[in-house]
Amino acid sequence: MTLRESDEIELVSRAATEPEAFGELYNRHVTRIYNYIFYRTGDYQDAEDLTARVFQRALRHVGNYQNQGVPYSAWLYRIAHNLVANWHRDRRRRPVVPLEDHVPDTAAITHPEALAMAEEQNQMLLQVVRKLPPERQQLLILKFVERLPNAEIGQIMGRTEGAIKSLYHRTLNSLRDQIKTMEDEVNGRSS
Amino acid sequence: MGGIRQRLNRKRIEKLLAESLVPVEPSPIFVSELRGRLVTIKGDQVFSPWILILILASLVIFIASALGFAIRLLLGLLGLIGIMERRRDQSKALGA
Repeated sequence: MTLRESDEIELVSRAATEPEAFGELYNRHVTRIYNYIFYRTGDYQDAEDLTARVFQRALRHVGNYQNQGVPYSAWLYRIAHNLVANWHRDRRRRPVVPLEDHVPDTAAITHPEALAMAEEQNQMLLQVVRKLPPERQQLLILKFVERLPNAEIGQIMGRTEGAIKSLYHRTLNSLRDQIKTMEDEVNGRSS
Repeated sequence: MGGIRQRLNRKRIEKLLAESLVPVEPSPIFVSELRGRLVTIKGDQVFSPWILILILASLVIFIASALGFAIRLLLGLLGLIGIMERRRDQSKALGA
């Protein structure tokens, strides 16, 4: 167990009675949880709302948290995962809001046409990613946004490192197939 | 979509994902307001030990008051029975 992990366990045990300890846990994880929810929902407002609910729920149940060898962040991701699933269930009856406000880092591209193409490409890819099953989306967010190693992703998702590697491989194949299908649809419409 | 139309091998998809899935920062106002709310709730939360002590103390006082009231009621009732019995005895004595 690393120093940071033991420090975190100590913080969690104190958080049940000490507001400042919970505040410290919040500071450490709020951005990660926000990022996860943002990429799962594609909306800033909903990401803020759901992030608030994750931490309110975590606060209510922090006294029940039992250390079973998985990081505290895994517990938070589990809460976020469940809330996002409920959010998607509620939204099924309503139209999907696209990721129109999302502006990825395209500072290196200066030509307007190239910038527009890169933006369109990003939008399309995010659209395809959001059509993947929830666990595959979670894997991609943890790997690319959080840049976590497979072992840590495995701890968070409750799988072995090997299972994560295999899931990642299948996810990339599935992405490739979906992108091709989408391109074929676009080409069919334009011809 | 010109970029994606190129041959989609594993490295290319990974590169595209790395370009699209970039970390975003939540608004600092949102972060600080939520922290403030959470810490305040924590200070006033229902499961605070002091709240529990207060609830227990209120419960003890309520039970003691209820018991006191019940004892007074019982004693009053016994007193009433006593008065009625005495009056009956007195009327019997007068009749005899």
